[in-house]
Amino acid sequence: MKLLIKKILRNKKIIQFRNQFNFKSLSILINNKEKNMSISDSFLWRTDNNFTTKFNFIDILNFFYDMEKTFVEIIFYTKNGEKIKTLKIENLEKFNQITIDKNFLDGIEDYGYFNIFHHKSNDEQDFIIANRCYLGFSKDNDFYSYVHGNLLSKYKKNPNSEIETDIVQNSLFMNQEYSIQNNLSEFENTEFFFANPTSDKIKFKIDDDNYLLKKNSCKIIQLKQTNKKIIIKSNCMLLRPIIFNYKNNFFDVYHG
Amino acid sequence: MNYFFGIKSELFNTKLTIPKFKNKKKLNGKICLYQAIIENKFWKIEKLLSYAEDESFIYLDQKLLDNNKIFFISDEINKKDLNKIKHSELKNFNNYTSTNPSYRSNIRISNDIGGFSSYQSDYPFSMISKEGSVLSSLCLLTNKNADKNILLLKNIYKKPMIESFYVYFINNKTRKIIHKKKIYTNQTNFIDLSEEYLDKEVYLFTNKYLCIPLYISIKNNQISFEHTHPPHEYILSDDRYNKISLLKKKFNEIIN
Repeated sequence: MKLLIKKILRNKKIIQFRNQFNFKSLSILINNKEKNMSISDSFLWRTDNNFTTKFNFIDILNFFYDMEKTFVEIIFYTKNGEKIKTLKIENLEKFNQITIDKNFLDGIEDYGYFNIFHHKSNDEQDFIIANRCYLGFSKDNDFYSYVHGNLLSKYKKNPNSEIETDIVQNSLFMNQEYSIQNNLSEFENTEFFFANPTSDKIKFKIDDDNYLLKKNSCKIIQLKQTNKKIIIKSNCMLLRPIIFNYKNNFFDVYHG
Repeated sequence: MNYFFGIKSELFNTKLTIPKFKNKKKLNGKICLYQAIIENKFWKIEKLLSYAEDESFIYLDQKLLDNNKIFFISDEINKKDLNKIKHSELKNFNNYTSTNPSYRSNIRISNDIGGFSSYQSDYPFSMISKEGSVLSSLCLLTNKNADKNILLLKNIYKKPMIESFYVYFINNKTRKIIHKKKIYTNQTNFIDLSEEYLDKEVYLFTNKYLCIPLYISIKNNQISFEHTHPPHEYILSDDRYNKISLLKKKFNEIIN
């Protein structure tokens, strides 16, 4: 009986209902009974405006589990969620680095996101791991300003399985608020990067402006307002942006 | 409860911005800023009366910041209580900053030319009351071609003591200590990272007290500033603490 109640309470629509009315609300759901999950953020890549992106990551399975014959698949998407390419990297080192510029993306000067999934070569997996590694961004040169991942987004159960999502939960309507914990009025320009971590569309509002984030998509928004306190209203329980601040020809990047 | 901290250095200016708002609850009453500093082997805790603020944020510039001062915000605490007690331990004074998502400040470093970088920082009470070890790769957030790479190790420990302990730089492949340096509790410790330490096999390790590893890179007045995740952020399955304990045991064997 308890199991049945638990199953009902974890139904997607029921969770949305709970979240709508703040009744035992649930932001993140990871089923710890799953034996195999390689979870990834939706990491921003950008090659627009002379940006280059660097991705520094560790071989999590080798470093923490001493596993041999590990590999990663990194899947690159456009901002609209169309697959650009998949990179399979074997012979990993403990520390690995990828530089994403327009040459790497066959001439694309834009932005999008990528996911990384860690696997070992045989099908038997027994771990739940999350890659929340580190992105560096450089503009016009080869110095990188770093930011760490901060939003679990997608996962795979094994190398041959489908990509799944919905670790981050939604509510029925736009009743969730998140305020950026920094004064953004001090900068000449600010951009927010959002990636949709769910399988539903996300509606959100920054101050008085409405936006839509389709399933599997991401968006960079240039802030129109320069209010000190910025409030993001949405139907997503955790919609926290990566923030780019610009001033005097310098920029800064950090997670909200 | 979260504590906040600043940094004092001749290399850059620092600004600490602490929000006064919560994401999910409305404010009740006036929010006060408190400072804690070790004096005569006790914590001296006092309410700060003079600092910049507006309706959303508290701003502390470098005149008010130091490497041994920490801050917290709270509803008004009975002044009598604060003054009459010789605080032999930091305690969980209130739950004002116990929130989900985490209640964070923004710590920004900048130079006179205009370069700046920040991250959303906090030092959770749960870390203050524990002893333990820290493991972090020196390669993930540094720029090998930078003019300067600096490691900051911030420790806040509940007891009002300034005790030395060691940070070790360890080559994980050769299993050799390549550098060790004395650092102190309840301080922000600065370590210059020369290029020889920025090897993909080199990790920092402490075995006595916890701290937050912060990495600063500077090149041509551009700055990068970010922290690494603790190892348990990478593993979400039930065996996480066991796996990390085994990993740290290996590093402990190298230093002992």
